[in-house]
Amino acid sequence: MTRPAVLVGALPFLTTLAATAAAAAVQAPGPPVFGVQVESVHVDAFVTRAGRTLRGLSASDFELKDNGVRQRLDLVAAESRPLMAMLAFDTSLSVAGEKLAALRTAGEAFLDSMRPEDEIALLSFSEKITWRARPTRDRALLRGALGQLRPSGSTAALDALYAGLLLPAAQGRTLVVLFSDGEDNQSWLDHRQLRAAAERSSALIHVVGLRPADPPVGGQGLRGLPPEPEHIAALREIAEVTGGHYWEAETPERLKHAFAAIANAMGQRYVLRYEPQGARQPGWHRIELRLRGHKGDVHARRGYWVAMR
Amino acid sequence: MEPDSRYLGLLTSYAAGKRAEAIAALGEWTEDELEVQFALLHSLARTAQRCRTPILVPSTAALVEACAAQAHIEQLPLRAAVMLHADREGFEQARTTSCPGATWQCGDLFHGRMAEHLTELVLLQPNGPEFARRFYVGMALQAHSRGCFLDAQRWSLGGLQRFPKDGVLNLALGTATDSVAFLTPPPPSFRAVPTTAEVRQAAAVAYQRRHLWEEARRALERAVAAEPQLDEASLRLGRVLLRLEKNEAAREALEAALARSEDPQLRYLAHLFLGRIHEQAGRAQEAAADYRAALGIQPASQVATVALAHLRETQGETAEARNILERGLEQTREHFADPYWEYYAAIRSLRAETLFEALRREALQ
Repeated sequence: MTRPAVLVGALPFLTTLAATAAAAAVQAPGPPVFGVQVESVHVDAFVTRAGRTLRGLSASDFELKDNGVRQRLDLVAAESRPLMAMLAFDTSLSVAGEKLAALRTAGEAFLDSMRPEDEIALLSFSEKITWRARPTRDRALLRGALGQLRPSGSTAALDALYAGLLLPAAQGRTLVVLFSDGEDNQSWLDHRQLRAAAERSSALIHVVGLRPADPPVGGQGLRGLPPEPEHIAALREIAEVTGGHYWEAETPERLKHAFAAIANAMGQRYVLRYEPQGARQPGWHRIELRLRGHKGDVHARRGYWVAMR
Repeated sequence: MEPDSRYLGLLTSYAAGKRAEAIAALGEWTEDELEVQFALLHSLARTAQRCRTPILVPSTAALVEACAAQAHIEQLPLRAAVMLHADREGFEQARTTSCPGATWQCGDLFHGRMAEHLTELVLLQPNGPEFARRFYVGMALQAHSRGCFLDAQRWSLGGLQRFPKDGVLNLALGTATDSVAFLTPPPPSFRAVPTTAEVRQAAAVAYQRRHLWEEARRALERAVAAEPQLDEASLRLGRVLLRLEKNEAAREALEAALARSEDPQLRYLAHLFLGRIHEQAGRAQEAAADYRAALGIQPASQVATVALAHLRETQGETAEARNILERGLEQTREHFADPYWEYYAAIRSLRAETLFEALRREALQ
């Protein structure tokens, strides 16, 4: 019998496993029943120092704890894993004009930066979510879909992000890139539900926001970071829980840079693999990943769910 | 003194059905000139009031004068005056907007205030109070449907000063207040240790939102108490109670709306909100049943689709959830407007334009 490998941020069945635990928590008064054997876990890690990607690290440069238990790591070639990138683009009325033009340009540059074997899909959303292109390697089709984007309506970013998480049934890695320029005013799901869904999912989420820079003076916390609108904080948290990032473009022209940064990060990520030792129990697995003998910031998924009926 | 015959001519013209001409001609009058006309009408009305209390009138001559004024005021096309100024207000709101994308200019304009003052005089006419009440309802609904929620609150409150127990005005007030609360941004998130001032400001914002929802709740409870058959008031009360995390009370209000109403859109929304209440309480089967019922009413609803797919995914049924969502996206039509998306845009069961048309017809002589 083949035992399942859990690829954090990758295999679709992880979502099923994860969801079972959540369902048990919601539905049944008793404890959830699990029956899974986790064979191997894959973790995407992005390492930066002073804002620049840190390259050339090996498995021994990382230390990972799964539910507090230190694990033995292998480094897997990132190129060996096919990628499915789901683009979810806000096309509400507020995006009309130069923002939409800049978004198309940024989207096209993103297509160019992906490997030919990577699949890409495109969803657009206002309050309504629409498939523009299902997962495909056909770049011409995707360019055509980008060209078809038209602004209308208001914004349901969280519902669209959820669709971006749920819809891909790809066998490889899933990357969700959400672009939105405004406050969510139409979603059914709230940010707590989305955060939980992101934790259950195996996808990596990056969010690109478009808003003017914070004012340079006044309204700043004691450490100099100004408070941010709740909807942006929510998207930031959802992205970070998966190991992704919230990228802020201050002008439409900067959108291209944000998308390029995501593509760059995907190309320079480390994929770590381990077979959980002493941490095979079902439920939420907290991942702590840090560097050994190097200085730098590590961005990775904060954990994963394991569950099975 | 009598009002200017040119002004009375405008009212007569409007009352004769020459609406567009009268609205245009009114634009030639300055605010000062119109205030003089109102003062003259008001003075006439005050004189007329004495006819109703003859015992307080000092002389027969004064009583004759008062009753002549009363007879005169009953003949004046005051309803036409109210509707003429209301229509001119609408015209100017559309004309003066400067925000890109916005269709209407919100805020208090002169002709709206004139129309409101004139309703005081209409109250002296036979069936005047009912006309005035519906005028306030119409203005509140119109402001709401134009996205001018603060104006909608003000018109509702103005009406409630005269008709404090009116169910529809309370529904309008509760709906407008709910909308204001919804559009009030929640407190910001702090990425660093906040200053004391920031903490206080955030607490004030959180308090303000909750306070607005409490006010909406009180207005909607008054609406339900005044007119139990006002199903939309029950629906909106349920939604506001859900916002206030009073889920069992919300459930009661929504089930009451569902038990009475045959309106498919109202039933759709009630099922949707009930589904959320069940889901939050961990009653997944009941939640799924309500989401499916909502989908039964609005098969193309993306909101109900997302709600059901999410519920099933949290139950571990990921493949089924994906299928539900896939099917839902396929069914979404280009021009389908989910009632959930329209929830804050207007009071569903009452249409401002229908009401205004009726009032305009009554203003015809």
